[in-house]
Amino acid sequence: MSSYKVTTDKILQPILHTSKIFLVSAAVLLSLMAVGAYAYLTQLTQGLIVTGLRDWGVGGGIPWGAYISTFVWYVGIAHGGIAISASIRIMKLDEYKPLARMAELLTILSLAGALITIIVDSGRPDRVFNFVVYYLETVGDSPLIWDFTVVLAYFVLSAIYLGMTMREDVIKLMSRLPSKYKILYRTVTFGHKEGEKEKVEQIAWWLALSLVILMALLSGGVIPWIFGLMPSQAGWFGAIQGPYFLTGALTTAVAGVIVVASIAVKVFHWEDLIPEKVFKHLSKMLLILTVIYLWFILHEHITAQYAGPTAEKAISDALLYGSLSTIFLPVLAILILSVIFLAIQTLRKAFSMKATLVLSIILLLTFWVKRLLIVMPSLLYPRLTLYPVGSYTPTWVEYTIIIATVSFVALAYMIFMKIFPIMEIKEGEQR
Amino acid sequence: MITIGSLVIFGIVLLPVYIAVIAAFIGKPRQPKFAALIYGSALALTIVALVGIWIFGTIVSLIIP
Repeated sequence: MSSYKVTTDKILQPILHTSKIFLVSAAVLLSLMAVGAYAYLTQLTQGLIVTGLRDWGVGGGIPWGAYISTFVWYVGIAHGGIAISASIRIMKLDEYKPLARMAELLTILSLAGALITIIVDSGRPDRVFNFVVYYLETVGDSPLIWDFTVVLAYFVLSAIYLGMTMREDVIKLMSRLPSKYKILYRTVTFGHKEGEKEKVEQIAWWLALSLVILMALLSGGVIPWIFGLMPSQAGWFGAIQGPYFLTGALTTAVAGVIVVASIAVKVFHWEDLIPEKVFKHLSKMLLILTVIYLWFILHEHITAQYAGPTAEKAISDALLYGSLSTIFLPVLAILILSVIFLAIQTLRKAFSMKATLVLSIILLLTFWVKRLLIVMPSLLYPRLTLYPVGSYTPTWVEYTIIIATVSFVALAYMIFMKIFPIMEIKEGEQR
Repeated sequence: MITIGSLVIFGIVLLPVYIAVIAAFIGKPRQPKFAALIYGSALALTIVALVGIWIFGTIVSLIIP
């Protein structure tokens, strides 16, 4: 038996075999989605009053909370995912190639998660099409419409990139792929001709370059501009938000890729396809990015604490010693402990897959809380002293819907892996 | 009217996309039909996404009291 056949057999394993783990996980995720659908129906029929969100200012509440934080979190994972994949192609990092498609898929599904969350956050989702109807009148001045424009472009180009780079593999494996999904395989390979491979590579290279630059401009620009361009909002306004958001995005994305890839390795026994040294390198990336992120936190607080304007200092005080310190300090502690753990692991050259997976999951959750600590404090502590300090506690509706969106992303990921090869087949030829 | 937003989004942020599209059409090997197929699919997907948003909005308008 050739090594090519062995490798393709391994890559096809999730498509050709349905394990008990798959069925049980799918059932659990579907149940969570059903509960989420009920929660959303409650929100649709009763309004946002069922959430912890309230009017800002004299109302003493905050209009942006867990949903917007989840949106920023998803966008971060999404941007970093394709950045990893595109960097692999541009810099010809062959060692990381088995991760490319996993990262691309993470991008597309996270963007879908982001889109769902932003619609869920809307008080009148029936008016969502107004984005399109009033597009020309609003695109000049509204950071929200800039987001809509660039996120949609990013979503479409990422999907095209994934589909295009998959065409050759689907053609190669067509005879072995399940016939029940033939319509999907035909759609992906529409218009396929012999000899298109070289052109696919050329278009994919330029598209990858475009996506990497777009990612930096989006995750380090358009998304943070929703916050950083608002001079009325202490804690948000400032030039630091661009690089701060970008670092957070890349950190969560690397953690996300470690999570999905290590679960795939464990479940499908792909140790020889994605060797441990790939995860070692990813954990080093995670270390560097977390250190940079901590560096930005230091900048943010030293600027506010040294001689910052009153409103900026009030927010920094709330995070360091006040009402938000019970959330912020544990987040800070987890980030510092993660750096210590990753540094020890790197210096002692004693790598643990399990520990890195657990740490990556903890970091993903921690960064979600950190996103909440970006969105929430500025609204709780208004610059205008006439406004009272606000309060916000997310309700079961918010938590349930957010968990349902994560379940949707996870289930869609599993279903994709059941239909399409999640790794480039040419990897198999090389082995 | 040209505003700072239009300039930043269409002049700077989306610039890499224009370059990728131009490169697909004029880059070697030259296969403009294949480039049109890929970017035609992108256009079709954009339309599908927008129609999807419209359908969602319409369905929700029936649920919201």
